[in-house]
Amino acid sequence: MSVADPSPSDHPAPSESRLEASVVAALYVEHGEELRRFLHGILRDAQLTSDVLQATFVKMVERGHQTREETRKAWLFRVAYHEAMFYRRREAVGDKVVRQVAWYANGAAPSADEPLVRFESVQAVREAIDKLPPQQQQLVRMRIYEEKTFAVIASELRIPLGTALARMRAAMIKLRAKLGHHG
Amino acid sequence: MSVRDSRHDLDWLAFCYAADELSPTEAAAFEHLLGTDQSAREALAQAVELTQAIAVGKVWEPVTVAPTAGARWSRRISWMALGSAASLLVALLWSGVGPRMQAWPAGEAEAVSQKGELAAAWSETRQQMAVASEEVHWYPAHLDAHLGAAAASDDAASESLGADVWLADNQDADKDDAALAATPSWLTAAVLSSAGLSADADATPFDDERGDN
Repeated sequence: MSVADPSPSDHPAPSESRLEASVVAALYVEHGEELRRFLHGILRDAQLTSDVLQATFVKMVERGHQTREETRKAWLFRVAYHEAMFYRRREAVGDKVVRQVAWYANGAAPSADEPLVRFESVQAVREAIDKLPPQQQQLVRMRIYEEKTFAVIASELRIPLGTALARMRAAMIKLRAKLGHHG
Repeated sequence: MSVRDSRHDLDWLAFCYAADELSPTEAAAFEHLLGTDQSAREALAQAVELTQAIAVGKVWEPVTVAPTAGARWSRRISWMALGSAASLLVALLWSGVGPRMQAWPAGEAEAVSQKGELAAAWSETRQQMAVASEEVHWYPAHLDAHLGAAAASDDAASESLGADVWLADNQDADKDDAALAATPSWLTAAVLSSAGLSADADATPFDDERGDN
């Protein structure tokens, strides 16, 4: 594979032998979900995302022993990024058509064992949406549920584009805080 | 700009990238950032998670159909009105019609019996005429004379056709019962007229009382 390697040799290798399977499995449990979401953000395709995720962990099996433990998460993301860009070029999925985000059809339900979103997150966001001001709820609904662009939304609501963006951004900050990552 | 604002900017940029709201140049710049900045990668993962959570989790108003308090009361009132009407009907039938039927004089009861026989005979004749009318599409003038002015109207014609259809559908049923049950009021009047009875003879004691009122 002609993917540009993230130069694992930049870091002193703690071991000359490959990582144990249990270590790789633990890394998958810890970072797999987040990596999948990251890859989906680039590829917009559930199957392609799964393929690239698998390729990423294959790399970890092959070369992970050359990385330091504290940098493995960033290494995984870096490898995933390069793999995704390589796949996108190869599959010619970088065009406008594929880049149209179809939250429901593509990523919302990839498969039962490969969730992009946790049930707890869904519950938290659902409650948070109900607490948003009506105007922000409307923006969230039109942008994500109805998949309208901000330009269309601004036109339909007869508000400046900046106002639409500001409302959406304010809503996203509040909703993101409910996911518990930060904020 | 504070660290928090910077973080929000990155989150917003990641969301706009995931939502394909960036221009090609901006998207390319963000993808370049993804190649070097772990915070940008994590921000993109979170943007996808958040958007998915919204898309999956929120059931919007058009899908949620919860009856309002007003609708519930409206439905209750409808049922109460229906119940009241049914109770009134039962009360009227129980207290009014029964005793009056029993109080019919013997002469009138005989007239009613006679009318039943005539109605049955008329019904049988109508059955035969219905078959004939289906074949040649005409209606005898003498029947129109019995029907009177109302029979000439569209409503009466419809009623006549309805009786024919009913009779045709019930040829296997008991003829007497069917004829009595299916005899429309205009037909009864016509039968009474042809039998030399006055229209008043068809009136029941209940009609008399109603007239008195």
